[in-house]
Amino acid sequence: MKQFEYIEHTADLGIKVYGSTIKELFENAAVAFFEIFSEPGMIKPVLKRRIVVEKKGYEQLLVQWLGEFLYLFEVENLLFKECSIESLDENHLEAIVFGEEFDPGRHEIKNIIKAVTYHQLCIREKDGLYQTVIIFDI
Amino acid sequence: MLRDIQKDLSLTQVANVACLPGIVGPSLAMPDIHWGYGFPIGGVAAFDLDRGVVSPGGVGYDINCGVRLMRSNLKRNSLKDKLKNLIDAIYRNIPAGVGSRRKDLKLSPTDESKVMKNGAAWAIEQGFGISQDLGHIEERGCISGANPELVSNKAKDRGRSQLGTVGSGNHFIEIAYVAEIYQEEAAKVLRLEKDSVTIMIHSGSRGFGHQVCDDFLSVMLEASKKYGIELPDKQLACAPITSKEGKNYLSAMACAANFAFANRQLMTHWVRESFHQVLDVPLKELGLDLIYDVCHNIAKVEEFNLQGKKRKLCIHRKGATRAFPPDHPTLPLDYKSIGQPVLIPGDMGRYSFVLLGTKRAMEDTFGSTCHGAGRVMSRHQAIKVAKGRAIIREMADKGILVRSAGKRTVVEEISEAYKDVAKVVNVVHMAGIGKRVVKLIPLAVLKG
Repeated sequence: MKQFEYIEHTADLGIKVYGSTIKELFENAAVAFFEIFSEPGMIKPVLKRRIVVEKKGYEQLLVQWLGEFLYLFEVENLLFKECSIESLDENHLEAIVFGEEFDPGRHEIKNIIKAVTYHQLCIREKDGLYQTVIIFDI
Repeated sequence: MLRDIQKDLSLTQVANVACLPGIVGPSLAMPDIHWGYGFPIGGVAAFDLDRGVVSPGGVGYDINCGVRLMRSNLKRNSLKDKLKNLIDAIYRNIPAGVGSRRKDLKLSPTDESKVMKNGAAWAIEQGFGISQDLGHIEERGCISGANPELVSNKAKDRGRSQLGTVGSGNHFIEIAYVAEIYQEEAAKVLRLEKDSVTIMIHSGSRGFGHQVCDDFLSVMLEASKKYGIELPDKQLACAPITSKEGKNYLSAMACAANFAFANRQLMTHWVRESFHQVLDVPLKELGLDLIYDVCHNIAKVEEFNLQGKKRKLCIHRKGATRAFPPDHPTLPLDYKSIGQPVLIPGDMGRYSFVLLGTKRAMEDTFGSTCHGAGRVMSRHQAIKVAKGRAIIREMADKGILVRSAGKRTVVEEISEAYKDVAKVVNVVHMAGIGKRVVKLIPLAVLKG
């Protein structure tokens, strides 16, 4: 199963994400974010951050979950490569993310994501496969 | 152009906006319309203050992304050997690109509150600019009703280190010259002559505005359910203007708009300093005066004449520019006779335009006109098209120096990725919702 694929959008960048469980969908969305934003292969998992998100419903949770990576990049200068979701229900997500501090000498920022949008976002389950479109503002 | 517009979902987006409660008159699109989220980019819509809604998706993420233009006493020929030093000085003095922060401007939480409440005036009080600048900024550089308590700590955190930075993507600082004058008299009022050097700054509220938009999209998604508003697209989430959610958004949005005004004001100061440092000419002699500063992404209350009656409406402009006509009460004295300057940046390789607001815009488009070229290629496509080409060299061969914090940005921003802004400007000029005054051609560009 593909984790995610790119879709074209004139001004910005969109993906379609898949997962056999809702948790996997969230993990794959994070993987997609890391790959779009930077080069995960160049990032060492030398530090970790706990992320807790509280929102109403999976869609808002998903936007906030990815939004946390942006916030931590802009405010704490951190890039991530891996995540481990510890708990997830409709209103709550708790996860650990691994990465390191952004070093312009070693790390490339491939796409400067400015926001994770709700545009066309719709989590659907069909035949045991969860999927959604996510459009990033870049 | 119409054929291009039909290629994506932007016209559906215009139709979606027309379905929102309390819209007054048509859901409008400017000729630079393209696919946005929720509202299209280039969308304009006005809402009744009692029955209408306000939507963060009608403003966009980069709240008060906007443009300002400075004039100068310098002529293009006098800069020939100094251009490289000038753009390098600007590059040194103003952080650009991803993750850029200012190390010399430490903003305390109290300062940041003042930025949110006072906008450009805060910067001027701190010595970044002169009080005459204020009259030449839309809303005098401050949207009223800002309440910092309604802004999340996350937005404040993201903003604190980014004030005074250009940002990335399509944001830029550009040195250009007046290549053509279409209206001699108006150009004289703007103090622009043939070959005059100008400086344009395109930037917004950085991460601060993005976070405010993001925070309020969640609030509005819940509010839409609460008030029974059906949404064809979640990004259109909105709330009645009279509701707590609606009022809170407008207050938080004002904070972000004021942050952006202060941001552009700070950069104006550092541009002036850079010219002063490199040319070693007193600031007064350089005449780097602000022509105007306009918002491209904003919602605010303005007064219009509808069927002979004055009526206040909440106007959303998302990728559109206010274009008030001559004699409008909000205009500064020196522009009363010509109307409000409208600044339309093009892509980095071609040209930009200065227009003036018109009576027709007031009647037909709620005092609005286009805002720029609009992309025709996605960033990915642009990278494919530019593969193997040395874009910075190509630009230098055309006589345009380019400095950029990120190599990719320059490639993503190639001319071909944008519509020809002259065509967009031609449409608004012919439609009478903006009057062309001068054309500017770039000499040196700092890209994010």
